Amino acid sequence: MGTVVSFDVRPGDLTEAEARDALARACTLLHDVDATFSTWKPASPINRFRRGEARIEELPDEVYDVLELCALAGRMSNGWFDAWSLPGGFDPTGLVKGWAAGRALGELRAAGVAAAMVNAGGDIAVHGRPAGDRPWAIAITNPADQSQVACVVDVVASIATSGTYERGDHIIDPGTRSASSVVASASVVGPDLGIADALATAIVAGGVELLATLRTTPYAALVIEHEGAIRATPGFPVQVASPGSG
Amino acid sequence: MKPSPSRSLRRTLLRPAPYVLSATIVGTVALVNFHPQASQSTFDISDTKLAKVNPDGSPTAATSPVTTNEQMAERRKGEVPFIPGPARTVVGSYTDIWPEHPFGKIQVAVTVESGRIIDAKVVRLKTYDGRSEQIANFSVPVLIQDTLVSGTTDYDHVSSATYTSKAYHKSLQAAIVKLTSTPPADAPAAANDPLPGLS
Repeated sequence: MGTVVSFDVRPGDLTEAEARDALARACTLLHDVDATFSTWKPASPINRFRRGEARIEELPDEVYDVLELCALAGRMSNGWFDAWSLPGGFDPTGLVKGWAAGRALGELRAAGVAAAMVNAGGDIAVHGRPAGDRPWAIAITNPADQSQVACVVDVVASIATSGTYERGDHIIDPGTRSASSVVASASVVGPDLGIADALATAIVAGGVELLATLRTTPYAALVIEHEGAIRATPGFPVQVASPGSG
Repeated sequence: MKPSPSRSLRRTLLRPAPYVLSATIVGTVALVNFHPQASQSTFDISDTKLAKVNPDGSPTAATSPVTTNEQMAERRKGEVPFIPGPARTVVGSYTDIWPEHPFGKIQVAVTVESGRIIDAKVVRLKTYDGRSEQIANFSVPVLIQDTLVSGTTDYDHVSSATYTSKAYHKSLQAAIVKLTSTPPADAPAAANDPLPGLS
């Protein structure tokens, strides 16, 4: 996947050794996901699937799970997230990173840590409360100036942010298969980080019209437009908005 | 008197085991921010693989920057909230992020005050090929950003779009400029060196 994953672990009642063991399992899981889904590695299962060398039932169960999630994300985004229409063939990378981070967090949660955060290249899955009763406070960066915070969000499960500001034109419009840049950045909160990641990507490609489609889902979104305007769906848990960000 | 690197390192090692570790997985760099229940902790960017972290979390390279509270307060004026705490000298440590696999080597200096991370800088980075350089380019700024974010009080972490080499570079340069424009008076000279291989 070639991304940066950071962990923030509050072990609670666990000993340090127990918490480190859980971290080691979470890292092993990320290794395994990378081995399965890396499009960099020619012999990876996902590449064998892409080249038509292996049927889905011959591949690890995780590949099937991810395919299902990709299909779900496609339906939830009115087709704007489409892992099947990317240059080079089926590519679940836009969903796998968040999905893997969510599973790594699951390892920590299963081990019984009091609170934890897994941040995969800016897409964040959290568990528990970092301090007292307050939820994890996650800052969304200002697309016009990455050193600035646009707003802070109370996150209880996951948040993903996608945008055109850091990777250039990395969002592919499945209709035209060309790069699209409708909004500067989109952040999505909800239960599954993989889906949130895919939806954030879809909104950047499809624009603010897609916000309406989230109404019937457990996901909420916040969009920052190139002019600096911020729009959010009802229920998006914005904590504060800094002056000048809107 | 300016402490020698070895003495600084020894002082670091004498402190309680660090609770912040880093771990690397293939093609992926992980920074582990491990918060203890105890209020006092030191910070260390340690071994790249969890299985290979030294039991005491000891760093593998020498020297640590020493910054006074006054310098740090000045540096942080108008930026992030100053973190209150007993006045005491900061502690930092450097080590390799990737000492054991072919992506290259990096040394990061981290400054801790009152148990919070308040500064981080790359002091040395060596890459061996284009791929390692690419990984370094996106991972280093993230490491720095994550490290610094965990030292603020307004929020816990940052959600942002994924970095690419151009933006990583910009972000990295910005971070480096920001971090080295007001170097600690007694920081080692290496802390101000530009990053080899990233120009």
